[in-house]
Amino acid sequence: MNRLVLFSLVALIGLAPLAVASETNEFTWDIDGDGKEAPLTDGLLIIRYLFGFTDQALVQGAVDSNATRSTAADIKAYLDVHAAELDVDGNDTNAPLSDGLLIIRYLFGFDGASLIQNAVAPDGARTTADDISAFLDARSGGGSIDPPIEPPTVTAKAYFEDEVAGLIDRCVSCHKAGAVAGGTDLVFVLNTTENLDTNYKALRDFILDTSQPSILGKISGVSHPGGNIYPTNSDGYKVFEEFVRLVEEEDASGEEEPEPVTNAFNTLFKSSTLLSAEATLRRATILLLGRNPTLSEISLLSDGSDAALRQAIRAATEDPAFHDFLVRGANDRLLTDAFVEGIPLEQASLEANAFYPLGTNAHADAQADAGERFFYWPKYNHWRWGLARAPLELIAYIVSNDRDYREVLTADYTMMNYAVSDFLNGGAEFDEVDPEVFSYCQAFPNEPCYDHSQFKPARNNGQTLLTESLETEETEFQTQRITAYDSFIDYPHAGVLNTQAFLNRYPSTETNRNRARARWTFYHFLGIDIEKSAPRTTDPVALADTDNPTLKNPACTVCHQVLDPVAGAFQHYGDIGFYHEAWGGLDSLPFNYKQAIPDATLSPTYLGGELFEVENEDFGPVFETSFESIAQTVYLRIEFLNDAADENGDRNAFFGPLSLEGPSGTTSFTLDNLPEGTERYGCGGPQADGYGQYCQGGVVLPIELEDSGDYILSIELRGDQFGGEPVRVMVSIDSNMNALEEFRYAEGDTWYKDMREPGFLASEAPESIPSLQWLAAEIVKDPWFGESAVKFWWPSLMGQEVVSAPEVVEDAQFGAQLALFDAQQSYITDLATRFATGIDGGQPFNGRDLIVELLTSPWFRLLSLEEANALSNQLGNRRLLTPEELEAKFAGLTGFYWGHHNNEYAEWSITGRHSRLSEEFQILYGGIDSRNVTKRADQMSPLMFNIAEKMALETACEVIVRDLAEAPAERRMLGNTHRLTTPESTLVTQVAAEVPLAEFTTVIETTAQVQAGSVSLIVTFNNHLGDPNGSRNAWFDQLNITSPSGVETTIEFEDAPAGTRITACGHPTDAYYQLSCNGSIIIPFEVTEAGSYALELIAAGEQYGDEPISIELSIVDSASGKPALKRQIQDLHQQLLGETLPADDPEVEATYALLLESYETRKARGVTNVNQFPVETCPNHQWRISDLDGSDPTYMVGTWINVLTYLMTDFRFLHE
Amino acid sequence: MKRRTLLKSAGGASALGLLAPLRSLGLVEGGYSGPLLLQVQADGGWDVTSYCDPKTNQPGAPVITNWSKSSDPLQAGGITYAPFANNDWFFQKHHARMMVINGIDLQTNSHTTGVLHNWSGRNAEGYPGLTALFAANHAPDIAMPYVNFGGFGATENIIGFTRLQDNPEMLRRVLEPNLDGYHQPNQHSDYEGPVTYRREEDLSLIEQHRQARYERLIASSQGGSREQRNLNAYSDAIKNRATLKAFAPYLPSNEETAPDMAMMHTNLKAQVQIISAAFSAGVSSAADLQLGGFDTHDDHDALHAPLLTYLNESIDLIWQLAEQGGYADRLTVVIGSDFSRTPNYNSGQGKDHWPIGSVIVMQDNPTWGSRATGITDTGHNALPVSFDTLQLDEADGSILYPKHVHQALRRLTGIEGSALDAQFPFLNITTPNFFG
Repeated sequence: MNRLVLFSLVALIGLAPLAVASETNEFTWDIDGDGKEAPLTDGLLIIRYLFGFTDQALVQGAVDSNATRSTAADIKAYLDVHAAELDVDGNDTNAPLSDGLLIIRYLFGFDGASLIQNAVAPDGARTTADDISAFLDARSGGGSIDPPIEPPTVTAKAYFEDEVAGLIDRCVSCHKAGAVAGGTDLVFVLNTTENLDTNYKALRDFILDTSQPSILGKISGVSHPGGNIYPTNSDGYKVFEEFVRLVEEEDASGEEEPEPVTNAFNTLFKSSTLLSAEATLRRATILLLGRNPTLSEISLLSDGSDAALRQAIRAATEDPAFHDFLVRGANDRLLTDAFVEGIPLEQASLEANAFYPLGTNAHADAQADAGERFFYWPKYNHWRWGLARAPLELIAYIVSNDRDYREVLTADYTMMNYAVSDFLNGGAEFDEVDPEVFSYCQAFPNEPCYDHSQFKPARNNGQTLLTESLETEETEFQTQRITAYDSFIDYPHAGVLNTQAFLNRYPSTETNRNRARARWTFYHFLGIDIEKSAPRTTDPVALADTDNPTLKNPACTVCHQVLDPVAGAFQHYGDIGFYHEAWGGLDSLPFNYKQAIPDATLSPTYLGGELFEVENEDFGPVFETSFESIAQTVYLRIEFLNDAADENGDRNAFFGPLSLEGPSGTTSFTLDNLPEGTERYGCGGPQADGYGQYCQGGVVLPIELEDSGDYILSIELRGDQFGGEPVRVMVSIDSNMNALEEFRYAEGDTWYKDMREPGFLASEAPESIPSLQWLAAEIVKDPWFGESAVKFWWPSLMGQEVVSAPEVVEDAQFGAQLALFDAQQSYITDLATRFATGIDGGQPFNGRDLIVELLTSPWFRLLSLEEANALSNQLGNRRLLTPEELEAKFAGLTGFYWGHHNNEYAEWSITGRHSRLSEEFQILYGGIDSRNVTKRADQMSPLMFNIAEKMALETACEVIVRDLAEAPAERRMLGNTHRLTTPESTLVTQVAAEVPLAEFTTVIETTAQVQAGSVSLIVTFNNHLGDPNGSRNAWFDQLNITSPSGVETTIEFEDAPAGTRITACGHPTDAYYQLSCNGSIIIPFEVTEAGSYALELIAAGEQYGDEPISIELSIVDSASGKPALKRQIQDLHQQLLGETLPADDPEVEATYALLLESYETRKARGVTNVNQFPVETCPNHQWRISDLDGSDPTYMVGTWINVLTYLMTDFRFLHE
Repeated sequence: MKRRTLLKSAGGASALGLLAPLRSLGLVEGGYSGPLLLQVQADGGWDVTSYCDPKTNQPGAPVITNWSKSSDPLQAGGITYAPFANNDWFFQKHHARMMVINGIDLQTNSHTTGVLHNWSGRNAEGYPGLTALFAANHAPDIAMPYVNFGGFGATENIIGFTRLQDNPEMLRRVLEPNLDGYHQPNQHSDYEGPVTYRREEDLSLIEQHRQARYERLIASSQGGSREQRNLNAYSDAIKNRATLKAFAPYLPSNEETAPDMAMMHTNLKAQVQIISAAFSAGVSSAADLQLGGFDTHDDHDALHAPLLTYLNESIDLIWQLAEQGGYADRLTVVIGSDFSRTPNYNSGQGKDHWPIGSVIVMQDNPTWGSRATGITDTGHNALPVSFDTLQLDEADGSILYPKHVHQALRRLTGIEGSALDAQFPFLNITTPNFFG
């Protein structure tokens, strides 16, 4: 079965489904019992049933919402009972691709030959269209349940003139003779008043030709290389829809009313539940910025309206982290970060690179300074990274600065960091940065210290051309210094299109001729995947055609007519993207092409000829070719094609005696005396035994033919053999001496003569402006550009590519995919239109507005669909975070990157940090390297979960310990609790103090309301420091307690009461107790009267290092801390998982249960430090900042570590 | 030295070289012991006329292969091959394991479509690759049922994929998440053994609560939603990871791993080593390996020869390690590409795209080994063959398409007849009798 045929059939769904009565006890084609006989429900059910599908595979997406038989069991039972009715061709076999196909075609409205073609078993009882139709009609319900059709009030022709003619300009531009779609079955003429009738007939005939696909499908982008012209919700579509209806009504065979077409987007979301404004804002900020929304952003939500949500998200995008998202999202499409992941950016080489003399000479200078050829020069890396990142930075710059998004293609500048600006003479100014922060600067004190990740707009004024002005000298390190060069060119910037990275990411070759660049330009900036959307030929003859098929073969030209002009617009850029890279600087055409002799067969007056491979070194073998001609002057062309030479030898060709045998005899001659009128080209000339040709070229000599008839030309050839191939000589005969001149390269050409002219769609690029700049301007004028912008950002926001049009009707998900495709296209077209004019009154083409709009759309906010279908599992929230997104989320919550020391600058990384998720485990966690791996994982695998768990296990301890070491107001996560608040105790008060002296003059006082009962009085030492030169220790002398009634109690620490616990190393002295490492002294105290207690702590310490001794005095009572702990848990669920939960929510209770069990387990274990080598370790990623205090006197540090590990490995932490 | 001798000696260098042998540790506890499938994707479009469908220059036709100016095709059993790169060594050594299927019409000159067609069996999107089908059918519940190192890897939601890279040390570090390292005695501690982040009992407590949490989430999620789909994947990931912990000893160290070759776009040999370790341990059932660089529009011979040499060495390595790992008798290897290259050189001595390709299928001691089928003419055009006799049949034969190869491979690898086979049917075809 030809899938294209079926696809086309399906495209008719919006055109001519049947509406019939269903209330009958007899078998009809209304399989699902919805009162209608429709191809994509009833027809599809039958064909799937005949394929043997059962269960969900049978009914998925194929049962109407009004069906009375909707389950697979009901459908199967019905068809089982009536199986005999399905043998349409009467061959006693029910086959999907004969009987099933006949039924589905019938339901699509086909008749005659188009109904039965290739679908009828030859051995069947019914083989003719009439017999088949009669059988099918007999089982059709017939009649209509819809209201009678009103007679048309206008004629189709009048409607065409009034309404349709004004809409077909976009069709005519391609569907006219000589244009892209001039070879299709729908060809218009110029859309003028005089041609109304011609164009009306063309369109009408196309509609009425049942072998053609649906015009409505075509204009809405289904199987249409031209893409989506009029989406199903557009006014234009409705006009076409009405026109189709009128045409069919007027036609004798058009009796059915088209099924109403509804807005697919609205239909899909009609019963959906969306995220609240606050939840949407959080999801947006997590994905974009890696953090929760700020209070000020939340406050903007006010009434929770869509407008308020837009405002809040827009405000959030002012965060500098938005830039990182933009770079990341843009790279997911352009993949230019391949050049920071290992692919060499060839243009960036500074080894004798004469195109960039400033960089090349700077490199030579640096080599001289270093005294070696290969050395580490940070600026070289910065130059490479700067070039590599330029396209992404350009897009980020445009969006984050609210510049016109069209500048993505039309910017007359590029983005440069300091190194690129230096070497490309950009003139951008950068401020030097602190060498303490950019630690590599310390190792290169003679280099200016700049932040290489800072980019500024600038122009490339630093490229020169390879001309006679170029002079070089050898350096002592076997490279070249450029001592003289041509003037710098005025580089014709065209946004990202001619950035070095874009051009080098899609390099060209002599035969590719910029087609890859054109293909990706279409894909990224017009939203069209030519390889997918073009009607690919499957004709083996066409595919194997070697006779310039892209220009000549219709099967190929249908695509290349569109592709090749855009490739031509890149004409000024060479294989790796240098502007006019050819020697002389006039063009970028390859030497081989310039030297090539045009293919003789291209000539329209070509008479005959042959390519000979000459392996002999002496004349002897005779080569023959034949041709037919009338009596006339013909031109014999003898050409040597494959000159080659080096120091070891030379390949040459020699043309010997010739003879021409014709109707009236044989004529012999030699070339040692060339006849008058002979043209020579290339280096060569007559010699004693004929003609010697020493480089590519040959002779063209006139021959007068006196008779019409067949001729045989014989020639002796020999060659100086050299290299791996024989001498190749082309002998051809043409009736026009100059016929090939138009195909030959001439100085000043910038594009191939045997390719289509540079252009875009129906327009040719003018010579007055650089063709790539012209192309960029043309593209941004096209409506597809706006759509492409939507598609460009869709994956990074939605976590899925835009769905493509389904191709094979038999696929189980065909219906669902078509519906989703329709809905997305409908939305995208609408948004693109608003983007072009300004979203919600904003500026036209504002990229930030576009992203905000996508984030407020149902596509981003979808929580659930009431009617799930086969593809709804691609929609909605809780998508898997990419490694970069998870890394950003982790850093946003914790303040550091997994594996990266905040105080260490990683020079070898473009981001300046070496983090595990986005570097070490980038691929294993389903990310991309932009090189070999370009598709992201969208589902968790066992290995990925291990990585997520390892991140939690390795970092949770440090996160908790560091957080608890901060004052509550400064904490990131645990601001609502304290390590002394436990399931069985609550912190009553705590006072922190610094003790700057070794004398007991420091007195810390506090008062607190304390309930009667057992309490703990706790003193804690927080900042021990010790090394071979000294030690910082805390000395606790005395604690005085005064009860509400004035009773005073004094506790001497060196003689603490029974039951005192000490959770750190230390020892008593005669006068005080010394804590020699971080930890606490916990003293039990019985409170007999409730009320206000006054405490007075006298402490001193052994001072060492820069900081005074840091201590705390706390009172903890015996009331359960559960309420406070649950408040903290609520907060963690909100921050980490995006769950807003009441205190009594089962999830809060469940997390508290984990906390309680952890606490009790750890308490029972009696371990008061979270470092318990080798079974518990607390890695310190920021050890250069400070040590981690692992003391855990109340077991709550370890408990919170368990809770955080649980939350950081939760589904909703890893999916947003 | 004669050309033939030179080629032979070049190819004869052991592919294993200094690489580590596979450790023969047997399956991990609960490891997978069923059939295995390995696909090697030669990305960019390889030139089979210099490989398994050799073509020689014909009078009056453009040069199709430079090697045929001085050499004739060679024979190994029933397989004819080109005396190019180290093919001689490779085919002589492995022909008994091979079925070469030539003359497959990929029906396209576009990379995207060629890759899609060759590896999914049709040139429309929507079908999973053979590896994904295989893994989903044979071993959906193991730790890494389907491994993909890059390249084509459509799964169509029938199974998830595990992405691996060519760095075993990085992999080893996450096989046991709770392992911080392995301590050697030093001046601070004479302890020798593993160091962990958390105690097992704490992990177990967390795991128990995580499972309960999952059950609550799945119960409240909407059927058919992305959240539910991802919840299931998340749960499966946790459930199926148990054997990974025991996988580490099977992996080579970084020093034992094949070095990255500058000319090669990917480190295929390292991929082979890693997946071989996974097969040996029983933690994986199917994988797609990838070697790029075959899109040689310029300087074809000079670029293609080292790539084919490297490819051959890598395939040899697959079988050496399979033998060492004791799973050679369970392994099927499929090698293919987007399509092939033109039967002529362009002006840059490169070759462009050509829609007729080949696939090599390998098993250990198969009854169908040492054979080639599918027929192309001297200009490398596909010719019709009888699907019964596999001989040229101009009258009633058919051109081979990827769907035929895929259906035959589904039969060979035990997928045919399964629910997944029915879910992704190739319509209206007869399955060629490639494998008896």
